[in-house]
Amino acid sequence: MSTSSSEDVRSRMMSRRAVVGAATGGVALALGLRGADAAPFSAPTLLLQEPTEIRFWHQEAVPKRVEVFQKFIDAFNAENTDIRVVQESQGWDTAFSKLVSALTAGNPPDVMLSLPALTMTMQSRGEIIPVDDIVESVNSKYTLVESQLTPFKYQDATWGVPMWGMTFLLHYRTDLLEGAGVADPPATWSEWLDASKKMTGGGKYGIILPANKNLFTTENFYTMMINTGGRIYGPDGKIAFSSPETVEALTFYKDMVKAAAPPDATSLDWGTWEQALLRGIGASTNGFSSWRQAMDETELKDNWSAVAQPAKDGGKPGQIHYPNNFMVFKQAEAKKEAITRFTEFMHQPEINGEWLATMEPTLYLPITEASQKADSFWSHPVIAAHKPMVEKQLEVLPLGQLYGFEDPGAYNPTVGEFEGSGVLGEIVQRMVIEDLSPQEAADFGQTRIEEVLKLQ
Amino acid sequence: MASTSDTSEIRLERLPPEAIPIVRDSGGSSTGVLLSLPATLLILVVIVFPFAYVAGMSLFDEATGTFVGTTNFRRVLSSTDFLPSVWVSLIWTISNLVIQTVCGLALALFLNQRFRGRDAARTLFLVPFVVPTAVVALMFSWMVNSSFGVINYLIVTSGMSDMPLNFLGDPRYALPTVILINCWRWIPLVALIIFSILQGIPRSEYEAARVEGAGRWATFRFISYPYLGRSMTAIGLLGILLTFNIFDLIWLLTAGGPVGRTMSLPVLIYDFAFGRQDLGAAAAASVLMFLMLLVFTLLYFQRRDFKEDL
Repeated sequence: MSTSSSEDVRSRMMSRRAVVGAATGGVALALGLRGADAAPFSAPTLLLQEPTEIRFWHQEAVPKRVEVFQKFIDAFNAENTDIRVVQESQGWDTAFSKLVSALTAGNPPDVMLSLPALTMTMQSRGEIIPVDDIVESVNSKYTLVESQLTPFKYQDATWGVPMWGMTFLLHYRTDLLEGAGVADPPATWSEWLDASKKMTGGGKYGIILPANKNLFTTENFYTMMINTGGRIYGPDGKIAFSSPETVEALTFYKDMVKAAAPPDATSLDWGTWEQALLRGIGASTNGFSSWRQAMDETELKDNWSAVAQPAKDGGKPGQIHYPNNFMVFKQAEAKKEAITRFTEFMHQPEINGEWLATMEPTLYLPITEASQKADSFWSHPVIAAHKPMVEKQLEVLPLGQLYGFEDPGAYNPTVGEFEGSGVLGEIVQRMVIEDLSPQEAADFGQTRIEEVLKLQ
Repeated sequence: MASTSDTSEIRLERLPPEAIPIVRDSGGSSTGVLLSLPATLLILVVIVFPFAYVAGMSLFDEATGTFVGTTNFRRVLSSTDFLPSVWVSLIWTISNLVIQTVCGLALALFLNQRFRGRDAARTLFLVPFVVPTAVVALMFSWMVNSSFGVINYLIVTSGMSDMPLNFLGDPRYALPTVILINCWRWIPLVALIIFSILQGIPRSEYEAARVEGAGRWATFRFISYPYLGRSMTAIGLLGILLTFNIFDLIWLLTAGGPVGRTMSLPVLIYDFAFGRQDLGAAAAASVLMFLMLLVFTLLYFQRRDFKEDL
């Protein structure tokens, strides 16, 4: 054999050894890993143990809010190296459809930010587990505002952990009110209608009030039903829409829309609502304060103030509210301890305060006594600039009420369909467009709600 | 075989059948099956399976998983929304078809003339089509807004109306407004398709007609229209089906309102599924809509001009 042939054979043997060696090493590694899986306490296993992953869904898809979520998730993950929270965001419009798809595929999130109606829908379908232990843990440390818990307690358990609150106030232009010769902001319905009429004119409208088939109108109308004692569901769970109290609310709402709302009230949505305020077209609005930060960048920023929603003369004070909550899916029961730690972390007062203030200042409110005192909340520049308004929101928060949850322990599993269908907005829209009398609208509404909720 | 009895003429004669060699199939059909397999699988996965799933869902109560037979169908057919939505869909489809065809044809005939900047104009015509639907909806909803929209500003300042018009919230205007917005989007594309057909007509025919003294209408009637007619039959079917199925623009502009005046069948199906969370009713309405369009398509295929084109 020649030298070159010997070298050739050697190189082939070496390359063959390299291949065999690599293959053997690969097999050993695979077996080692498999062994690690089977033997949890072996050294390789301890080195390779994965943290418990929590898939967390929320509907705050605005990029700024996603960033804020990520900041606190990163802080939690750094502090709790055996847990890894991963956020996935989508808009509210697509949340239900995506959730249904995920549940059908057997791949829902572990924990999801929700609202009372969606939480009850998931509970009625057997998809979520009780969270009494988590609520007890948070409550014992930080004391939750009771009105925020009410919508989640039914069927002898608690199904959601409230994380923040949102509530209505009457926001009004101080300069336009003064210009209309009205000395004080309205405190009753009669004062409210009068002031709204006086502020209408010259291309301005006394109140940006919707009459469209959407959740925006549902909220604006239901908040007035609260003051008259009108209800969607009766204590027996049946639809109790057509009543003298509802007629009273419909009468007032129609009068306000006709006298003081823009002509496109029947097509108003949140986007055009905010634009109307920012452009100075609207003199007042009864609602959330999501527009407040954008208003601070306009010339009108110092011309706004807020008071509690005026109550019907001799009626019950109160307004609509939306507690936002965590709900835990049944597939994540084994991760409940990790989810509890994440929830408690987000409820720590200074963390909670900073989280809610930076996400959307003045819109999302802390709902524990401890976090309502957090420096991190009150020191935020926007919160500090609108301190009187935020204090007023916290003051009225205990008076918050929501359709379907009027009675403690109320169980109305169709409330999710009621909310999603926009049927209350549809009733108001039909009343305004077809000029139905309030009684006709109430009777139509009774039948229509029963039809939409398949309760006929 | 060619015979050359006359050197100035070559005649091709048919070969007797027995002279034609038989070419054996060397596995070409199995190759064809294999080659078409990916596309077939794609159709099965993307179209057939989802449809079968929805058809199955229409027979169940989605919330409890129990078999309910035709209950969902009966609920849909007896609801106060179904027939009005079919009617809205018919008006929507026919109106879009007529307006887009007439305006598209006019635009195409205009483009068929030679003028400076024609190529640039042709490119610009694609702009409405490439703008995303969400952007179109947002843009027009703000333009027609009664408080700050430019269209109402022009209407009021020009004296056409004392008050701004509620284009998307007034039941008199909502459906026509949505139809016109959709036409704005599609007319340029229709024009370009018709224009490309017109470009295939030999120029010599137009010149011959001009020499013969034919006017514009006669030229269109006897030259352009015969060429267009054949292609428009197939394109028309596609246009009808696509237009009937449009959901996104209507939903983004009006969500089917006001008071159901723009609630077409696709919008109603979406409302059943994700507004009322009634997937059974949504599935049943989807099956009914499929059957309606299937019947229409089969009847359309019976058209004589469609059969002749095949």
